[in-house]
Amino acid sequence: MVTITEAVMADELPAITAWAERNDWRFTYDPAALKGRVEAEHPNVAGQLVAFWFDVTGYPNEQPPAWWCGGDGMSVTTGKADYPRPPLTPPPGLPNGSIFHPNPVICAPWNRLAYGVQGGPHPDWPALAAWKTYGAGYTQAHTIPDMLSALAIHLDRSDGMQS
Amino acid sequence: MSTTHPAEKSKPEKPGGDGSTLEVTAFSPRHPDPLPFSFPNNMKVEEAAQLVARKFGYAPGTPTFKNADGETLDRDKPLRAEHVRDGDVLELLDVGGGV
Repeated sequence: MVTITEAVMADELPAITAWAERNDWRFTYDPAALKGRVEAEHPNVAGQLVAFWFDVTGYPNEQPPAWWCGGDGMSVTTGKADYPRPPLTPPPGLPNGSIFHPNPVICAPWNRLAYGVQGGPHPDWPALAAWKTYGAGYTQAHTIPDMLSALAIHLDRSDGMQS
Repeated sequence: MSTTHPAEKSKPEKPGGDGSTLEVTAFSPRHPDPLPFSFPNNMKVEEAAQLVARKFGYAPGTPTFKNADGETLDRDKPLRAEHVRDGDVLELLDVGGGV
């Protein structure tokens, strides 16, 4: 039997693939493990690759995906050197602030690792299943390709990697 | 009652001819295929992006466009002031900030 997560991912995969091709990001997805990986060159650090992993277990009805940077994808990694940093001097224009927190965590309502119940910095987001209702006025992304787009625009404004 | 957005039903008499409208193609992250749009020449980026976002099924947010050069357009300026021209290909994106 196909699960909701499997069906939703099958529906989103064409858009994910198309977005990755348009933006020159490399994308792989393992439907058995429900994990994916995208890799891009840091737009402001020549030769610096940034790898984003995501785990869609329970997505989208029970919880948002988990997103993290670096490692081999077997477990969540928190090595600062794998995470982009916010710009020291933000360039003009939007978005304000950065989703790349120095904890380090990708801090967004569409990343369950940002939730207090997952050890993240947001105890004010108590229910994982209500993830689409949190963070009004801030970064919003309700599908995986929307999340890739959000990662890209914040990566564009990053000026390097955390250390 | 029609639910067609103004930008969808405004067709120029002569695309690109009198400069009264802009004919563009817009991608959104959540759909693999783009859609054509026609906007009044003096429409602000924010208004146009909201129309495109609704057409692609997005909830209210902070939409704008990225142009073919990778530049994020200023939501507060008219499309023309952000150098949008007939035939341009734009990508919808949301510039909501970090939490």
